[in-house]
Amino acid sequence: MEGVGFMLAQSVRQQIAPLVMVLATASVEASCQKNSLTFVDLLRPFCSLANVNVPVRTASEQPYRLQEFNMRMFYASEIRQPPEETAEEYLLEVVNSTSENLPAEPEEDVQRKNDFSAALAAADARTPSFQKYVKEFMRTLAFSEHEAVDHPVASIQAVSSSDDHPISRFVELYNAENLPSLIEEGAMDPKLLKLYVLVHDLQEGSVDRANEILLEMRSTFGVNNCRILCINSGSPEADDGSPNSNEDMWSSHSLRPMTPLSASGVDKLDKDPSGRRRGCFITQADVEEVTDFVLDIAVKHIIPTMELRVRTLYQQVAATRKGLKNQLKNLWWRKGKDEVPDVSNGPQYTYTSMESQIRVLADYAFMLRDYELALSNYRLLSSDYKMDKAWKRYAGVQEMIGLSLFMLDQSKRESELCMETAINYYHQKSGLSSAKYATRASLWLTEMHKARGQYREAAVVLFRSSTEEGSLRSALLLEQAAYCFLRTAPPMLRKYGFHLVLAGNQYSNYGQKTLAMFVYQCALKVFGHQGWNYISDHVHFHLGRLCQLLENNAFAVQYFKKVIACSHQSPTNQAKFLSEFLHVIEKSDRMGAVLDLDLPSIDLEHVYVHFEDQRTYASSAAASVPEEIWTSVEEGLVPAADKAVNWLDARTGNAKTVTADYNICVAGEDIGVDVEFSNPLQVALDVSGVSLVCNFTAEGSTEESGQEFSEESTLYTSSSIDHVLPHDGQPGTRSVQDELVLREEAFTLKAGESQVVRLRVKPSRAGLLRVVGVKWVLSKIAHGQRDFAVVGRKSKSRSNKRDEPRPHQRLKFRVLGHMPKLEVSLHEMPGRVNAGEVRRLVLELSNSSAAALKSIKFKTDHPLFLLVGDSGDLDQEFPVCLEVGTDAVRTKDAAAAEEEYSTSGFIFSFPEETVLEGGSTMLWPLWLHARQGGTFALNTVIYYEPDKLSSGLRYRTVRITHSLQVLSSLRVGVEITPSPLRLEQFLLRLDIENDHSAESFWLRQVSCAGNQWSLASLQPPVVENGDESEEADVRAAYLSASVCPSQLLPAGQNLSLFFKLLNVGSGKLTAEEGFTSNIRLGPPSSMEPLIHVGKGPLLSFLLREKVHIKKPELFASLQDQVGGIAKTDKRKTVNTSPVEILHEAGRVDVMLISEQQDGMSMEKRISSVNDSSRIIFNDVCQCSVQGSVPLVWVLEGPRYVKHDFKEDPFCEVSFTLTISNRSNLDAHVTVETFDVKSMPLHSSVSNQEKRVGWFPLTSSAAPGVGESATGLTTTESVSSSAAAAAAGSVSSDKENVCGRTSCGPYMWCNLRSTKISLAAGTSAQVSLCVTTFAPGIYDISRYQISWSLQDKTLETEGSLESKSSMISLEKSSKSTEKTYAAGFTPISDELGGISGPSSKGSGDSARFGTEPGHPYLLTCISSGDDVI
Amino acid sequence: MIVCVAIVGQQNNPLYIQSFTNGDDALKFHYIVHCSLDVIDEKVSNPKKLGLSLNETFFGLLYPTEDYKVFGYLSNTKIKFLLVTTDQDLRDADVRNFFRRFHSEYVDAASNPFHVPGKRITSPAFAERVSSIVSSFGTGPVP
Repeated sequence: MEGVGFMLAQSVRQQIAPLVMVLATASVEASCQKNSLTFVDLLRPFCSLANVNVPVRTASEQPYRLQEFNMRMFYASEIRQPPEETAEEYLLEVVNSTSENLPAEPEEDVQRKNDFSAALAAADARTPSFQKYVKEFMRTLAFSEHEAVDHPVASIQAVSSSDDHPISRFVELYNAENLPSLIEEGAMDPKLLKLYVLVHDLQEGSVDRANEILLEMRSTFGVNNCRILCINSGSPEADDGSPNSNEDMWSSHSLRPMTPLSASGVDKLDKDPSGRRRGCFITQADVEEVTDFVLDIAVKHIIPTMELRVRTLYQQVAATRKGLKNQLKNLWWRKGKDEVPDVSNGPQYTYTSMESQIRVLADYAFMLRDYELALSNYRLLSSDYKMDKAWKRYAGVQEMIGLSLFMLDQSKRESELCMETAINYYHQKSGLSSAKYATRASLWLTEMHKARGQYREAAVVLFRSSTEEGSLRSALLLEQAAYCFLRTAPPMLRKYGFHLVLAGNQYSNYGQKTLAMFVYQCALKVFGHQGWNYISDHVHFHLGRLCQLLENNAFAVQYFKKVIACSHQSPTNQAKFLSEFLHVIEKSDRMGAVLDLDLPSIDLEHVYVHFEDQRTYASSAAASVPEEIWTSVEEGLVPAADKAVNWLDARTGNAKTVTADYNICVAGEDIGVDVEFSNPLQVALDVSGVSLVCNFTAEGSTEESGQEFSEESTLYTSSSIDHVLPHDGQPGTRSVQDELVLREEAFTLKAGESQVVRLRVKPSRAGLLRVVGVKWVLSKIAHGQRDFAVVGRKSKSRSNKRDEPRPHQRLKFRVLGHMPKLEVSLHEMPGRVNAGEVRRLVLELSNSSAAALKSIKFKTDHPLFLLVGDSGDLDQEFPVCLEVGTDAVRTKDAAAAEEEYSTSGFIFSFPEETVLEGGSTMLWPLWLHARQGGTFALNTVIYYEPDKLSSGLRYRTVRITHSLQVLSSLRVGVEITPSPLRLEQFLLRLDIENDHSAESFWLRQVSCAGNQWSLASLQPPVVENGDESEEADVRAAYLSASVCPSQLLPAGQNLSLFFKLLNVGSGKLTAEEGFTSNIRLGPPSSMEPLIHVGKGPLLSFLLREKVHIKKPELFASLQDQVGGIAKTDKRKTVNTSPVEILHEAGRVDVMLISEQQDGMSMEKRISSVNDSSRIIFNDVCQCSVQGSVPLVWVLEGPRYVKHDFKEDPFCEVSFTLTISNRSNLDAHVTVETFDVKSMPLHSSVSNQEKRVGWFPLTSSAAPGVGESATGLTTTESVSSSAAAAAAGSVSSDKENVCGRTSCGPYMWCNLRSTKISLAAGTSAQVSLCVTTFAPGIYDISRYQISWSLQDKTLETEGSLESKSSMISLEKSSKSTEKTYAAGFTPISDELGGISGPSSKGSGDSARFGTEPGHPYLLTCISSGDDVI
Repeated sequence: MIVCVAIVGQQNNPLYIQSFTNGDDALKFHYIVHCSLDVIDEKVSNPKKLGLSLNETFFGLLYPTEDYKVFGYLSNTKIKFLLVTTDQDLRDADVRNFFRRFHSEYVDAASNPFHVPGKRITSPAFAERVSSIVSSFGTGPVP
């Protein structure tokens, strides 16, 4: 044999070797026992004869030489098949012994790269033990009745020289009860070659007596068959250096008896009670003697005997079976046997039967390595057995054919086929008992495949036989199959892993936990880290189970830990894994140990740190407002120098300080870290005891900051290095307990839930604090800890853009000493208000710390919304404090407000003396006025400083944010039209629309501010008794039902109110009363007190609004979030020319005060917390009083003139025309008067032309004045009336008088045309003179005023009106048919033109305009007449 | 009936594996799919021996077990597609067709800009389309 199959051939030769039966007396055993050996054991190592050269001839006289030879020696008592159970137990022990020397601990992921080689190494390490097992397994199958391989070739009878009557002992030995049962049954040939050995123990005495006995023996049994063997020549004391000290000579060859042994029995066998080592009495001489003895037996006796036997048997077989005749006879004869019913094992064959003889012949030939002969005989036999249906024997023969073919290295395919057949027949045809033989055949086949490198096929064979086996063997076979996959040409790692898992399963089924662990661990290397999570979970789980069963709880915890975070598993599995895990932890002594748990999963990268340095937050909402917003709010409030404390500046200032990476916080205040916990499972998790893990280094006693930091940083780095080590020890836990207050949280995570938890730590002393990680307790059992990822810091590249972590990600803190801390809460802050509503809020400032604080300042980014009130505001009940009261009022005007803004930017400083002691609380009123609809975030900053300047921060701020939703409620528009007749009188139209969806409002009061203006109702005022009437300017009025049906304005409705607005001039009002003028709405019986708009918060709001309108850019920074509407308005009102300010007086602020009351609303309000009345304050600032015509003129003069026409036919009347320029532009005005003819307006009228402008003087004509504006068209009707007819008859002569003249009824006498230049806001007077010729009523309107405005700013007139209301733009639509006041309508020219009196239409052309004169009636009475 | 389909990535990591049985046998199919990767590896490493033409993506039957048959398909980006079925006699054309559709669905899903190559496919839309392919498998035009 050469090449690949050499090893296998070698083992086949050892396995299938001549067997020698040994019979020994007790005394022989006794002398061997001195060496702790049995007699057979003593001989066994010498049974492999490596260097012999024995000439043998085949049956056909072909000579060949045996170069090596093997024998097997067994006691006669062992030559029998052990019972099934015994064999299994024995094999189990074999497995157990192999499992003991497994690599106990799995080396955890040493190198992942060498997975494959590691797996190979493991496989190699397991191979010897498997081979041993196979050997033992085959031994249990030896001595079967269907094979002749294990039939003894010879028997050795050993008698000790110390025995009495040695000769008779020899005879006694060979009697029936000592012989194996197979001989008795007739399966084995009892005629054996007998060898007689006299064993002499040299310790017992000299060899003389032995020689005597030998002679006797020789005479009795024949010379050749008798031998003497002398042993024990040495002594245990003297032979240390001798080679027989090599114990292995025996131990490697010793075969344990196959009786089930108790544990003590094993001990007895392994260790001699006397403590002597094996073979201690055996010397080199003894070894040589034994070697010679065995060699002698083999060469001189056994081989020749076998050769002889082969030859005789061959001849016998040839005689009976060879040749055509014999074959035919055999066929015939076999057929005759067919009638014999099938027995499961086929017919019984005794040793005398022809088949047994052939089998013996073939086996002997095989053992003598004459494989050709063996093969031909096996084939011969197989056909016989097949015909006999002796399937087990047939299978056995097929097995041998396979082996023979293999040994001949012929026909690979055929040998495999034979083996397959053997396996199949063992399985299918010959019953359960032979299943093991099938396994044996499979093993042979496997080995053959392996020998040829066909590992895949080998694996398949192993796998198949493992499925047939129902015992521990299947596990072993599976394991071997796995190793085979490892050795295939591309290694099939996955199949390897899979088979290992199967093997592990079987191992654990049969209780081999250690082996199961081993194979699972091997398998884990294949499955881990690749995402096959179901599989790796399965393996981990079983490993955990096994560790648990093996009481190795620490490892079990490790394995289960990897399984528990299995979101992909079914909920039942998740629950199972989790409960197993918790159970193991509970059981293990590592109950308190901290594990690197994955459950619940924690977002370690993204934590959000809440801390308060100089910036503190009143609420968590405030903390979430971006820093940029706060910076803009704080601008001007926070001293610029102090900004260096800010981390940003600190870093740029001195970049190398170690503090750059630290956040600043204050001792005694909480640091919060938001950590997101999420539950990946479908099982609810109970998490408790959640807290931060922190490192704290207390500050030294020295207060020199610079050095101290560097010192501490070094100290710190060392401690952080410590911290890289496992956290079991928690360096400095003791001190951490004292200096940090950690708050523990507990929560339950539902299935799939994630929760952000704020964990807090409170340092109690100054120092350096580092938040390392988070720890928790899962289900009150498992302690987990994870460290937070370190952000930044790693990338310390040279480049400038170093990856600085944001302050909210940094986990390192510099803790400063105690600082005062102000806590702020805003009481009565509504979440939702109606637009325009005025509320009083209470600001509660409480100093929660021990230190006092001072210099409190207040600033908000919505100064139009929030206003700090006076401290006295809290004394009175709301809204009484708004009402017209008695106390003196601090007045301000717009200039003051402007001043306030420009100096302080609406920063309110609390009085200097305000010092909040530690623990004290202060209340302060705030006013809220929601001036426009929308949702706003009111960001407010309160600044304060510690009373005593300490080493820490110089100031701190509290940031408060409130979200406010403002619902639109009343929209107010104002249209002011100048009265055409009076310069100082205007018509004010107030359009009110209720935009609110549900609420109704009571209109309570209309006021106007501005010290030149006074409001009056259009109806004659009802003068009331009492003090109200004394105030001339404050007039209570009610509106009749025709004007306003009710003061209640329900939702969705609108209303227009009309008022007279009088320009009273500033001199008329005392400063005391402010510059307000109020009109109370509602029935006269209403005794609601008036709201004083000229003081307190309302005034302040008004002033601020004015400033805002005038200087919107000042507000730009604060009003960014107001939205686009404000911006467009702003753009339009950017008009800060001096003219504008000059015209301040020409504008009026109109305010509507309404009230929303409980029970008044259409829907019943449910909320009871509503205060009884809510004041709504709508102001429309800076309404232009101009109207659409830039000029206003009034003709003044006498109304009645008495003149004696008889004396003087010309009656001259002089008038004064006052023209006032209301625009902010300079104007050139031309005044023209015309006579009748030149009037272009009336040129078409020919008939009655003469009568235009003149009416006969009747008593009833006076009321007609009202129609005189359209008098030209109504003269017809007037003249047709009866009264007119009468008048006409009276004055018919006069008519003729007038009719004769070529001019009109009157004539302008002093002026045809004049041009005046009018500066903005000025007025001029033109004196006119009219001459009449007859008594009558004259319409002095035949003049025309045309103007042109000097455009300086290209600003259209109309846009000025847009200031009246901001909200006007959003809702008005051009399609609306209503003619709203200008404030309501968009700045569209058409609408403005319709509402305005100007016939010229667009505002653009109003720059150049021509207007006819206003009607003015002059009555001339003839003093000489007695008409009246 | 198709009992399981799977997509396995270049590193032999599972990208998508879905069983279509009622029982809780995800583990079993994982093992089956995982083991069949060995066969694919084998076929890829020596294609000539196994009689595959050079440009063939379809591997045919990989792995017959007692209950199942496993078919394989390899894209040119070394993405493996696997099909585990209980049908004992299948027409090759059907299986090829299935894989072609399965592949194109994968391409669609992998083209999603939010899909990270080499990570599991979690798109529910993809899962839905795959299950519709699976349910239509075998019900096509059968002569």
